[in-house]
Amino acid sequence: MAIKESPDKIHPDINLTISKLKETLGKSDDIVFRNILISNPEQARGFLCYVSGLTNIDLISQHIIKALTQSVNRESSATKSLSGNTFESIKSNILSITDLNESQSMKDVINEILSGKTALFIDTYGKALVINALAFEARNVQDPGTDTVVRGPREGFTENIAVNIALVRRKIKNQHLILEKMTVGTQTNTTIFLAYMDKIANPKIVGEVKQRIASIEIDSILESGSIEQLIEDNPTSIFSTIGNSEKPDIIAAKLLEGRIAIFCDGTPFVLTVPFLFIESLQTAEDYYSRPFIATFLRIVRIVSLFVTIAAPALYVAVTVFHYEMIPTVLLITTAASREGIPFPPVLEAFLMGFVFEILREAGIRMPKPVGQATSIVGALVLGEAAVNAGIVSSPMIIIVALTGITDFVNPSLISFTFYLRTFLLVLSTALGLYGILIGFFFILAHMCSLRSFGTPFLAPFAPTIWRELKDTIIRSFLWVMKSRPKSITWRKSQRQGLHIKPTKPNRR
Amino acid sequence: MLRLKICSIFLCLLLLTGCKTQTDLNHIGIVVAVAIDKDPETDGVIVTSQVIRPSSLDRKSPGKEAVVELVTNRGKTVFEAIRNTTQEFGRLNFYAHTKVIVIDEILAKEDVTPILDFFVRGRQLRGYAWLCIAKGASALEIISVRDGVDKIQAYYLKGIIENRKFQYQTTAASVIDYYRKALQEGIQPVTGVLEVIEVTNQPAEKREENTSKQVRFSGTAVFKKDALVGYLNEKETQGLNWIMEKVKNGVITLPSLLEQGKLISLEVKNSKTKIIPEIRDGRISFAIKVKVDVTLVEEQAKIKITYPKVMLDYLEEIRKEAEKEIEGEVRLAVNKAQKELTSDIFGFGNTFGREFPTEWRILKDQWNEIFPTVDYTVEVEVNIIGTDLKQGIFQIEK
Repeated sequence: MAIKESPDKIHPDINLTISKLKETLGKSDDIVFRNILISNPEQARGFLCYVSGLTNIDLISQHIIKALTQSVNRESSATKSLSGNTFESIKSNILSITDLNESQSMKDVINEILSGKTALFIDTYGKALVINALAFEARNVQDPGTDTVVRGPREGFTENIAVNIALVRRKIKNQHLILEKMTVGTQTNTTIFLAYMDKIANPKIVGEVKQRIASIEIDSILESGSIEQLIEDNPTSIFSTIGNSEKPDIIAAKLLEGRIAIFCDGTPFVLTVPFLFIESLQTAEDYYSRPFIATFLRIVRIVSLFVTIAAPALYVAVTVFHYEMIPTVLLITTAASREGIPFPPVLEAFLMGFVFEILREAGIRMPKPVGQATSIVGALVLGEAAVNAGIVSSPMIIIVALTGITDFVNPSLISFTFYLRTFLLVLSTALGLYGILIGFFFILAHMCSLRSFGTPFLAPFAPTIWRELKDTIIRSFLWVMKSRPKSITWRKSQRQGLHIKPTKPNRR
Repeated sequence: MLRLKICSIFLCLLLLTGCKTQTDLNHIGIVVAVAIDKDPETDGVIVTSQVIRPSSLDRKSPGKEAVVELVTNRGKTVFEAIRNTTQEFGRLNFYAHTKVIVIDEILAKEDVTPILDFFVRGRQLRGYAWLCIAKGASALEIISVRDGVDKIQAYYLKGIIENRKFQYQTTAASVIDYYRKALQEGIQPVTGVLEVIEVTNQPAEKREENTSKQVRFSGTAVFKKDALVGYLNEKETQGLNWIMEKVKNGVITLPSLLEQGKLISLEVKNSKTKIIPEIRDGRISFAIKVKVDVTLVEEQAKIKITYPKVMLDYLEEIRKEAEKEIEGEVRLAVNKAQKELTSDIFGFGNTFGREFPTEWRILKDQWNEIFPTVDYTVEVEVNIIGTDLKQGIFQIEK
């Protein structure tokens, strides 16, 4: 056989293949090379290669090795008719394994072996069978740490991408749910799946996402956060324009609205694009509970966001510039508690705000039992004692505590609230309420300039899309939300019947 | 480069304006009451500010010192007097939370708006601060009387002024009310009056002296052309309040018709007043129509009324008595204003001007001369809307 071969092609001579394989993978001791003599249908030399920790040994010995070596006496007519081609007969008749395909590229085969599959080479055939006999330890599907709900599904994604995809598939049983595989990371070869609903998602955005992911040149992707930072529209903004979630129901809902999900192997966090600002104020439970409470909780979240950003700034502005704005009794009480405090309110606000951030970081990083100790130290020692010692005024403690608690209401926004709070605080120190006004003006102007994969970040507020406002500050009745958000799909599309409002039966 | 320039211009516009006067809360003195007196020596003013001492109001460890501090200073003008205090008082006074401004009688007889100008012109004082005249005492004395249960004296004054809504023997006017009337044609301003009275202390009050001073809010101060001209007593003030439609709550006490020497009380629930100007044979006259809703709340007589018809007749008689009583009060007030004070505090000129604009344009310059001579009629309609929870009268059986 004198075929001109490219170096990547698998050589028909098995000895050459073996030596080449051993040369590439042989340095690692967890890679198993196994010679077998195929007894059926004819004596041919075979060769198995797999990574020991990633494969199901029972499956390999029972359904591959045993089937190939011990089935001499079970020679059926079907085998005979195919005996002209050993490779085909092994592939279609002998191996009782569902997931197998053939490959001619040495590079592909090595990649597949490294991701846990088993390769079978047969002498004189310039190709290999790649058999899926994967099995490795993985975490079970559990309650996720974020997006916890009182009412609604409790399952969360795991680190295993196959499980994650299955979880979403189980929610959307539809042929239009498309999953496209990509590989990113020159060293890690991380598997990435792009999911979208055909016919709903905008093909242009799908193309854009694919192109952006394809252009990533990096050696490692260990978490979806790395992908997020490499494909976002505004990498220098403090606002994230890519959403993430670790709950299948949220991802399914977002897919069904026309968004695109990016699954990354090795992490439970799935990315979604395009991402609007209002999404960070929505929770899955809003849609499972009745609209009245959902609307109220939305308002609570929006107010909390405002408070956590502006409370210290407003306090400083009012106590330094605009005393006439607070009721007399409150002013007197505030003045009484500020008597003998050494620092101006601004410094107090900065000091206590920073102390709070320290406490929070300490609480998160510490192991659980120690974490409680930090909170006691924080609450009692730094709060109570600081007031008693006359270092900090008690209204400031209230403001800082309020800021902290309201910050926890929207956990996904913590990434930028600190910066906005500080920004407003600095402005209010210099310019009072007028400064706060300017601050909000700048923040909103910046937010208006952001885009997430072509969608304005502040849609549907700016630009105003009146029909979509029914799922923003208020969560309207489910039977009112008839169309999918146009800001995501860029076209009109209806998602439910026009007359689905439940009614009482007519009494006869 | 051009973009940078435009950006920096915008930034300067935004950041170089705003509030420069930043002062920490513990560098200001929160003023809750102001007294303005005439300085007899220099012809200037004496301004006294009642400033809160916050440490005495601290919840956890209140200080032993008095809750308020009175800061007094002299000056040729009000602002001069206020700024003079900074030489003696450690904090800069802040007037936005002033509740009461008391002006001395002698000063008020000259001019009032020039004194208030500093407060009204500046950004600090709120229009809703109560304006009162100190009668028979200096303004300083009024804001230094410590009485009542409020810790802060100004709140005591504010309390008695705002109790106006439970009676109609007094007039309460804020600074903005005063200005509104003073600047309008055909109406003269009135303000409340604060007096100092002596009361005997009871043992339960645990005071050292036998008597102590109290402030009493009573009657009305009448102004003409921005100067104090006189006072209305409580009876006359009632008449003024009927005309000004200010009676929303109050008591009318009448002799009982059933039994000699016994009395009845009517509670005013609502009142409506219309002043209708007329020109008849070239003479200006005003018809004052007062409509009052009352309920019978107290009856001292013990004679039983057996039949409902008799009860209704009795109520009808009470009604007539009440009408007479109110009419008397109204006449008393108008007579005093016309004859003695010659000040149109009822806004007769104002109503007339609205009804007859062309005539008013001719008359308005001489209105002060015309007002004392105008005719008026009083028409009172009392409506007893209930007798509370009891229909008849209990009779004690012999």
